[in-house]
Amino acid sequence: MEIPQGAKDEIMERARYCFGCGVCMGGCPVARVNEGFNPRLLVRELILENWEEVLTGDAIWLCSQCHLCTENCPQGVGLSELIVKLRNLATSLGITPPKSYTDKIKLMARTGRLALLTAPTARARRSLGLTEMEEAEVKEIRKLAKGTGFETFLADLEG
Amino acid sequence: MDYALFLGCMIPLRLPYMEASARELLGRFDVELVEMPGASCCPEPSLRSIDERTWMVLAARNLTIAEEMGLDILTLCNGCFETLKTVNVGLKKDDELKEEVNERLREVGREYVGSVEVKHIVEVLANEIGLEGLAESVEEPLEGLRVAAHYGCHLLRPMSILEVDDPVRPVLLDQLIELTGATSVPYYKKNLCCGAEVSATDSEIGKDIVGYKLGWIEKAGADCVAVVCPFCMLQYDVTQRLVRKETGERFDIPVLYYPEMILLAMGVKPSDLALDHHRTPVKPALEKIGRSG
Amino acid sequence: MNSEELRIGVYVCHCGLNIAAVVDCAEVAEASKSLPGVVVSKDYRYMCSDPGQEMIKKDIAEHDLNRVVVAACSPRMHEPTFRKCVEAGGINPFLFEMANIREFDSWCHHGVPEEATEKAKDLVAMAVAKARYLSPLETLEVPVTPASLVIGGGVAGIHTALDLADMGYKVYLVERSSSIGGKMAALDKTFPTLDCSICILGPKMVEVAQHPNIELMTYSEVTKVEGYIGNFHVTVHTRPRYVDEEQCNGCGECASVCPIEVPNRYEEALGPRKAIYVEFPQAIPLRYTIDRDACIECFKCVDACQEQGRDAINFNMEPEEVEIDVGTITVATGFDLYDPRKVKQYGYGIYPNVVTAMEIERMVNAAGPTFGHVVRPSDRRQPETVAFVTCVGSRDEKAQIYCSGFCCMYTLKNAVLLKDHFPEMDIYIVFLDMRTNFKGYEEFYRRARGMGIKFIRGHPDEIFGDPETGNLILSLEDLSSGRPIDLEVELVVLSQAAVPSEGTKELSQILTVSTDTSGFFLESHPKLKPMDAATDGIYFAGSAQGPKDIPYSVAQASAAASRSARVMSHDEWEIDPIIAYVDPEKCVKCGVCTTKCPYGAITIEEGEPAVVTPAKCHGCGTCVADCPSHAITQQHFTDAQIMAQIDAGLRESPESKILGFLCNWCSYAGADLAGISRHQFPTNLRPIRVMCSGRVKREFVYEAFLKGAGMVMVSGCHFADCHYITGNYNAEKRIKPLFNILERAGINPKRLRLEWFSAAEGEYYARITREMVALIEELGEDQIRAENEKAKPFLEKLMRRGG
Repeated sequence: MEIPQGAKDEIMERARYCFGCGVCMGGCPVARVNEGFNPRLLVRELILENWEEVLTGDAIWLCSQCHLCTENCPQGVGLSELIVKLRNLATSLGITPPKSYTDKIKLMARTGRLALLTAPTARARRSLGLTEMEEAEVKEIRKLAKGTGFETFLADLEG
Repeated sequence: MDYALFLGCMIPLRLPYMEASARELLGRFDVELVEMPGASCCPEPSLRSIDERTWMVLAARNLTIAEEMGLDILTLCNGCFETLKTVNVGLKKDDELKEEVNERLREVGREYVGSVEVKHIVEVLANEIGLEGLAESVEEPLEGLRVAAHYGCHLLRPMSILEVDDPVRPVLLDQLIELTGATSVPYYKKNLCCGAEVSATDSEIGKDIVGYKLGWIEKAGADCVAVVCPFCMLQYDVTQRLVRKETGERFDIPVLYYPEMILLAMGVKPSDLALDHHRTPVKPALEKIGRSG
Repeated sequence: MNSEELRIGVYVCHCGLNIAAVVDCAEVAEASKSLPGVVVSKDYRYMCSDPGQEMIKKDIAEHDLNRVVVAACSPRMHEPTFRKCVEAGGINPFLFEMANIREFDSWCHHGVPEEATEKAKDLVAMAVAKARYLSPLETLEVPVTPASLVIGGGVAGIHTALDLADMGYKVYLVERSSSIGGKMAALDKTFPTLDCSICILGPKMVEVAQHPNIELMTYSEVTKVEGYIGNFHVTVHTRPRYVDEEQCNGCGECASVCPIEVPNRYEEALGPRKAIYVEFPQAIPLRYTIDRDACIECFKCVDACQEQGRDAINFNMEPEEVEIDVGTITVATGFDLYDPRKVKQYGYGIYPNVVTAMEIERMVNAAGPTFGHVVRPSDRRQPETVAFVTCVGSRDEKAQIYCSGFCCMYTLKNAVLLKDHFPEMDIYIVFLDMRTNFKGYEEFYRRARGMGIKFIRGHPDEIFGDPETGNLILSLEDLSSGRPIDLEVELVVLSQAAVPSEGTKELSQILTVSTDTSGFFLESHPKLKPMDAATDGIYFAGSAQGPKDIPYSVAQASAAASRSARVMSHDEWEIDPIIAYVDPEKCVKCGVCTTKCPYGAITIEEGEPAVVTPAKCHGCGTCVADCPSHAITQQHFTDAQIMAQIDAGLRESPESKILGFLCNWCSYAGADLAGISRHQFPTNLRPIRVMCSGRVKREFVYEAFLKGAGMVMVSGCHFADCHYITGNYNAEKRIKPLFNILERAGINPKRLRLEWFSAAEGEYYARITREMVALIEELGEDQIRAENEKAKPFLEKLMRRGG
């Protein structure tokens, strides 16, 4: 796997300060309930340069992005922010994100929103005296996606 | 006070009762909420994980809608708050980044200038309307109601960007709860995430996290949970139904959206609040404080 | 320029491989042969070594040298060494100049050996240029007052005072609180031997009180310090005790009748003291003090004292001010403990059963507020389970980044004491690392494990207090198993980091010494002079200079005493004659210089030219730069010398060069530190050392741009930290208007930089150098040249006008 050095440097710039105190683990909601998930070990793998293992693994997609680790870390590693960078890097290298991510994006690309308005919800809105939902400007969104190059990813997704 | 109301997706499309109660509450304090034409999903963090640049551009697009309206944004969702504020703060600080984003926005006839602020309803209630103003409106205090306050992650963290309250020992939501006459109970792992975000990727983990939170909430003797975010609401209210304690029983701890709580304290009848739209029955909590009528 | 023929010897040191691995020393020596006035130019492995110095002395004789330039390490390192060497060789020591090609070149440019070699050639050329204008100077001999001031009466201050007093010197020991003893007096036992703390310190305290050579001034603070090594004039302010120290005999009858009780700071506010009090029974001096904030003026104490046949209480006492003269000063002001409330996630102050190590120390002490019982504040019950938490406020970029050094040991000690007194207590130590690196320390750790104390490697992310039981739950990852755990205990003890003691910043300004990036006093050299301040005659002992345990504090205290004695054992001390003098012919008697001097060293009589009192002049050069008629000269840093350095520094491709003025005490030292720390950055900067940024005349900046410089940097200490008190303020006032002036002349004002950074900020210096080089590259040499050309006539006019 050809990982650009610049991407590695950007992540390691902060990650290498980790001294393995485990404060991130103490506050992590996923680690509390799932024995396999250990954000401290994730950083350790990066320090030992096991990039491929980290990027192709499940762990980086399970983080709940609650930022407790970033807030509490005594060495400024910024773990939750690094995980976003790792996810971006993995995607750019052709690794397919989990279905939960791609499903949301597909729906967003189609409707500009995360969910569809179902009939029961429409009824509920009316009964609560709420107005009808406006359509999102999907055309604009697609145009912008084209500009950032995201359109290619979307095209692959949509088959 | 006028705000451009950013509704996001989950509230209008899944939890409209949250929208209704928020509008009702803010309307009583002369806050005008103006629709944002063409607003889309904020966009949600899953896009940030896939392509941060596109996420930033689409968020900036939403910001420009409010800029054109000349109004600050008010959000009802922690996720929307984090997304919009993070991008807003980031672009205001970094001219180079702003220019890169504007290059894209110009293609659709938009330009981000950084002229508006992004606010969460908790901020507006506590800082703009003010605790005193709210307290004065309380007519039927919720005496005896023990509430577990759940701030949610993206209202407070990362502190360096959001700057709403102390991330370790926040007080705003507790103060808002206490002014209704209810008691905000301390409980272990109060700052822990509800697990909403990871729920979509692994529903077992999501269930286990909310079960873990409810365990400590129950141990602290809370009658209900107070939330200020639709994702937290879904976890606590809906996912709760799937969680079982070791005994096999359900927790049955109801969840209230804060505006619903204070509207109750302002004398609004429970039946007027669409509390029956909640999945976990709210009745037991209401009965405890004699408001089940 | 001197009329005699100049015969300059240039010596380029390899410093082993420190310089030679990067800079081609032979090439530099060869290139230097063609510099005007140079008759000998050699390179050698270790110039400071015996053979190196012999070579210089031999060459002086053989080649009739009358100036010597050594290109080697920083002058702050070896200038004194080589001055002595050339003096032994027969020439005046001030006819010597150093080029810093190690800290300023090889150490910070090791990736670019060719550029580093070219830079070394420039640096030598600059030193030679200055050398050509050097004049012989005679050192000033100043008398030395054989008395010493020790500020701070903790274990370190006490030992420095006793050592000096035993050597026969008069010592003034000034202590802020009402008794000496410091933190050590409040400890129960000391590690690793578990000696009773006050038992080993008490006798020393009594010795201080009884020593004929020690004048103990308690309840006092140093408010002003003037002068210089051998001749410090200090003002000490003593607060009123409202009790006459002469009459009081410490019987305590007054306290027994006093109706007012307030929390006792010595007991960590766990126990009370009266409004009239001594802090602890072994206090020295054992004299009572009245806390007027607590006192209700019932005067029962007055009656009680009179019943004893004395009349020691005096409500009309006034503060006193005393001025003393000393030759040296030792700063032993100790440390404070980090406010645990600031570590919000641990809940100190929110949950009653989270306490600090000092609070446990007082509880465990048999004479303490709980008579040796360890109890939970919430219910006064002895806890069955206790957890100690280390690294509270240290090793944390949100609090203090440093390791506080002795907390691991005091945590072990407290745990061992608890386990020893209460064997059934379940004790945990939650730790990241166990730092036990001195004699007996690792053995003590083993002993703790042997007693059944449980060690959990990890660091809590939060502590939660159960409102009903008062128990604490610690959330952490148990690193040994890799799983998150919730540890529930009945009492939590926090081991907080040591931080600089309150008032350190103010005292550092009174003494004109620097503090480091963590706020502790800054030593002159971290390895070779850990107890010297950069300011001559001032020394450090104990935690004032950085957190230390007792053995290290005592060792440093004796070391500081020996440093003081080294000065005071002479009747006279030599001072560098780097002072100012006024040319009475040129002086226009405007009096501006008298307003600039912070030492009152220049005086002017009506109608007479200004006069400098040599002994008072500290040599900052501010008067020199502010004199409107250029009538004042600073010896060894004359205008001619500095101009020559500017010209030499910019002799080749000036557009790519940054001409930097760095002050000896802060920015030059900070730049040295950048090299010592091996920060790497481009080679463009050509440094000129001045004693103070206040020395920098506008003409120097104009000259630099007239000679084609790409950028000019004027740097000095942070405001309020200037070694000469106001030098940098005056420098800023003088240089700031140049931004506009240069812009009007056609020069991009970004090409002038004013920077204020300390001796501890090596990284900062590296960073701004990179920024400045980036600007030069962004503008491009063509544009720089064009701007300089355009500005030439305007700048020349300003030069002619004299600024």
